[in-house]
Amino acid sequence: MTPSSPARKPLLKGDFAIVAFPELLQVTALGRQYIAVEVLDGARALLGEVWLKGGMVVRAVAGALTGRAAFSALLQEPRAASFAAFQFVDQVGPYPDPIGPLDGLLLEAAVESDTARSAPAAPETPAPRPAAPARGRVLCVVSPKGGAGKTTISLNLALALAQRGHLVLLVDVDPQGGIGASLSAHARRSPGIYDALMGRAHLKDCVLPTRVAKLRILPAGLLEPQEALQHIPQLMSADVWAKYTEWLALQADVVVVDTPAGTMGVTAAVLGASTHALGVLQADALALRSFPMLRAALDDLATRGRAPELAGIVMNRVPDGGALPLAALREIGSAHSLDLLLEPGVPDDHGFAAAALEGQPMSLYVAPSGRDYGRLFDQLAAAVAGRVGLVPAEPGKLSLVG
Amino acid sequence: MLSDEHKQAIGRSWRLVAPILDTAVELFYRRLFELRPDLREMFPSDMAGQRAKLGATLGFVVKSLDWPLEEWSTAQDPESDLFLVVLALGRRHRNLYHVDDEHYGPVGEALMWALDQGLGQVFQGTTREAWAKAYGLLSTTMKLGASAMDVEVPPSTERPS
Repeated sequence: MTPSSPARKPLLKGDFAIVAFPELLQVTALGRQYIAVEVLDGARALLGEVWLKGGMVVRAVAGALTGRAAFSALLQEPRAASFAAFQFVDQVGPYPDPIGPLDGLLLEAAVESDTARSAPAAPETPAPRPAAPARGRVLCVVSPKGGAGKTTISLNLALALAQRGHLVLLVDVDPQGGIGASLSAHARRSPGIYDALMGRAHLKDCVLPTRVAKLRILPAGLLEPQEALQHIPQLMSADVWAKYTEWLALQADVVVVDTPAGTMGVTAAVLGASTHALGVLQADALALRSFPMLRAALDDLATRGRAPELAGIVMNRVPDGGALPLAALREIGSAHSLDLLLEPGVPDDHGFAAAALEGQPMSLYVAPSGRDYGRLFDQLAAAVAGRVGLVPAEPGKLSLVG
Repeated sequence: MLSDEHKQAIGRSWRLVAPILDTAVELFYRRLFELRPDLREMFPSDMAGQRAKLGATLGFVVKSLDWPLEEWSTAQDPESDLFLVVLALGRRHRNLYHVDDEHYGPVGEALMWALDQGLGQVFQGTTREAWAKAYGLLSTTMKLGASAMDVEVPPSTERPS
């Protein structure tokens, strides 16, 4: 769509001595009006202009340049002396393909120019996460207490990450096999990670495809009680698990590991072999008191140089409305930092329990309440992806029915 | 600009501030006048109305930031658009109350102090960073409103079609 130039009314004018160009662009992102910012030289000749809305750069023109190139050129334009900003008064757009988020474009331009003046003001812009390898994240999902919804959240988070385009491997290390409820009867009899641990199968033969192209599952498989007793040292060894997680990490962008409830035994060992941890807590006062157990487990691993990074806490069964309860905010915030709490929390919904019992992904479940769990978990997946430094996936077609 | 993470941090911490808002606002003004006693005369002797206004403004700011970047294209009524509202606020502060650019420094310092008092250990990391960044953007916008709001703009020599 070729953008026309809708009617506009003057909003601001000044020179770049009172505000830097990147700063001017950033403040427009406080609101969601279409704003045009003209960049002018000393003689008030137009050097170019940028259109923005809600932190998104919609259009940029600088002479013969358009798009990202124009945006970058304007940021580095040595003749830029003053600006005029306008608010559009006519219907603008829609623009289905904006150039990109302002923050990202400012960082790109800063890297290109390699000058401190062109860069966005460093104290105001958080340092970008370091470019992470495409593979290698092992996200251990833990819950100090049983019944918090950890397995359901692991399943739905893994699905949502895959639907966002990341290659995901969901691993079940709970010998009770919670993920198994999602599998067909045939798949439930397939060998899994414990069969590989016990030497009955090769790990690579245990990974199962799913109907979602970018999601695969490694089930728990079979661990007889006698075997568990005889192999306690191996099962409780982070070094042993690390050999498996290292291989698993090469198979996906992110490995989501569903662990047994609690923070000891196998869970502690798998935590020690993971890069990241995600806590799941039920949003009631008693369950919240278990947060220190998770913290203590991570601190203990840290003393041995094996602590994963705590990516965040997901609150489950949040009372109606979904807003995180004050008790949760105080409990978590006083012990650590509110940064840990991932949003959205998962609301307390009868549908959640029903879908969990059936092992059915929430995104395929139509809640009587009308709640869109698919969107909820997509938002959660976006938050988790940001926390573990997953590079935004390339867009691609996903088909549930292969 | 504020990232989604920053906006969420502000929203979460605000839910802890809201129940103690009156106290937090009182702390703010107390701190401001400690830092800059000369600013006291710019305010009415009875501060009750002023405190209520500040509390309402902060609540409006937090509510207005409650949207993720992916909702950038959602229509927003200009009357309640945070950028436009704060620009106008800055202009009024200059015209009616003679607020100068140099006043925004101690105001920011008092605000951060009051939030620190009210939130305690919660006011750290991303939460603290988010509020600092938000205040920076808001104060820049108010200064622009004070000095750069325009009525008429001479035509530039060329405009893209």
